[in-house]
Parts: sequence; structure tokens; C-alpha cells
Amino acid sequence: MKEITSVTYLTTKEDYVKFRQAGILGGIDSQDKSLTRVIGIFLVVVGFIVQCVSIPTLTIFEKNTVTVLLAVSGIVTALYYDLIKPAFIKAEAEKFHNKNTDKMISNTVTVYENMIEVKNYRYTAKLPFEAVCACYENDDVFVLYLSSIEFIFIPKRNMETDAVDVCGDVLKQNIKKYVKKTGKK
Amino acid sequence: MPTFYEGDCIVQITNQKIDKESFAQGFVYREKILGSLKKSIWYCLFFVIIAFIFAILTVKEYVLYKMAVKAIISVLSLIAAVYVTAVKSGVIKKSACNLYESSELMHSPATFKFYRDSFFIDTQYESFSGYWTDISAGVENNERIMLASEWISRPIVIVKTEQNKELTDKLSQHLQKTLVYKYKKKG
Repeated sequence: MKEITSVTYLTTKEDYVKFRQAGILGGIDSQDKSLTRVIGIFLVVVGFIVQCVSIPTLTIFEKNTVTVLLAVSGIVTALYYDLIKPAFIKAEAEKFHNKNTDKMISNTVTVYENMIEVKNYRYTAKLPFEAVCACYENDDVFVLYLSSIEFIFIPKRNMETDAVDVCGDVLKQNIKKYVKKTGKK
Repeated sequence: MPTFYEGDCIVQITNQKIDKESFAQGFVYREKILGSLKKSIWYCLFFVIIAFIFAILTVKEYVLYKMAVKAIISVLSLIAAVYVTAVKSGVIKKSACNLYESSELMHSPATFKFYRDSFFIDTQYESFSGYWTDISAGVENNERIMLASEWISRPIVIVKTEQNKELTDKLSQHLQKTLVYKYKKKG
């Protein structure tokens, strides 16, 4: 059994925030994200129209209130997946990490040509690629989805560039669903 | 788990296969303790108050369209209150059923070993271990023992009906003694 790469890491607070954000946001369908943005923009446009059009039954205060409500809810909806949800995940992850710093133990993830091995003090697993539902890759991390609620993280910060490429290729070849979003940096 | 004195294994449950219903029940219980259903009673209260305020404003209103708008807000708040208390757990249960079917890892047969200070769960591919302090809460009824842990994302469920009664009674006693106020026995 040929070893492709092995990464040992201790999860820092920054790591944990990045992992959680990548794990949760990476699992959301891009169509859902686009639809949310469109609905948000639509609400802002409706708010703008309400402000511009003369509605005799509404007082100026009521009209301004409706416009503000529509605009705010539109902005919140449009930016939900880009700013608001990541901020919520960050706050939640930081809170969890602060509360459980002593339990953030060292992990070793080894990718073989036909399986993935995970080892830490509390959890060990030898998972065939068929057990991994999907993989999401960004600039910082590979996220392996065991289900919609369970992830395994392989941080790139301890890996050589070549190892990242090779690992990415092996995961891409073996995992049914592979999403790569890199190049922001 | 290499640790301080634990003594012998108190209870061992071998190769338990969990059914879909038990998995879903365990999942919903975990959500009630740690997840999105944790604060549902407060959300319900919030929506009921909003509904009540707008119902009063509707009664006091004399312009027809404003009355309609306030009545709609009141009704929508009531619907939201019903959703967070009654419907949402059903939705979560359905998603738990989908989760159960989506991955073999979720329902592969598991061996549970319970020690004085810790527990182990072994499946075909994975091994979990934890201390009793990792368990946030537990509940027992006539059919199941369900435990919720922040560290294990999937529900820990012992299906009592599939096990020896002596064994489950022993486990129940151990959990009552170990988890104390975090453990509730019903029925």
C-alpha cells in the first residue's frame, strides 16, 4: 500500500475557524448561493422602487420604513453566504475552540493510494475512498466529507507544493464528488 | 485508551446494528441537547409574543389594508412558532433518515465498551473513544438509551430491545451513577 502523503497537525484557533468555514460553506451548492444573491438583489430593487413610486395610501414614515426593511433584508440575504454565515461560523468556532482548547489534540492524516487513515487520541479510522462522499479543496485545506455532518481536514500549511498537487490528484481520481476553489491568494 | 485506572469493562455490547428509526430518534435527541433544537422553546416564545402584539395591533387598527398587513404578520409569526416547536423536529428527523441512508459509516455495526471513566465505540472502519465528561446528556426509555456528545457528531444509541435485559440494566445503572443529573430515565 503506497503512502501518498502524511500530515500531522495541531488545530489552532485560526485553523479551526478556516476548517469549519471550508467544511460548512464548501458543502453548499453554488446554485443555492447564486439564488440567495439574486433574491437579495431583488429585495433591494423592490425597496428602491417603493421609494421612487408614489403610493398615496402610505405616509412618508411608512414608506421609508418599508424601504429600509426591504433594503436591509435584501442586503442581508444577498451577502448571507459571503459575509454573514462565515461570520456566524467564525464566532461559533472561536467560542467552541476557546471552551475546548485542551481537547484540540494532534491529528495525523495519511493518504494512501486506496484509503485514508486518520489517527488522534480519540479517533482512529481506516477509510476506503468509497466511504468519503465528497472532497472540497481551497487554498488552506482539503475537506473530506464522510457525511453532511462529519468532515476530515487535511491542512495544506504543513505540505510541500508538490505533495499538495499529488494529494489533490489522488483524491480527485478516487472521490466521486470533488470541488476545487483555489487561487484567492 | 491508555489512561489511569479504569478496571474491567463494565458492559460490552457487541455488533449492534442500528435501525433507521433509532438513528433518527438519537439524531433528534442530539439536536435537542446540542444543536438547532436546543433553543426552540425560546424561539417559539419570541414568535408567540410577536404574534400576540400584532394581533392586538390588528384589533386596534381601523384602516383595512393596514389591518390586513398586521394580521398577516401575526399569522406568519404563529406559523413560525408552530414550525420551531412541532414541525422542525420532524424535518430534522427526515434529514437524519436521509443521512442514515447516505453513508454506510452511519449504520455499520458497532461494538460498545463501557468502562468506569470512559467508553469505546468500534465499527468496521472507525474507533471512537471518550470520557464520560464528553457526554453532554443522556436519556433512556423503554426502547433505547441515547447519548449526546459534542465530540461525536453522530448519535450514540443502544437499542435495548435488541440486547440482553441484564446487560442493558447494568449499563443503565452505570450511566445513572456516572452521568447523574445529565441522565434521565423515562418509563
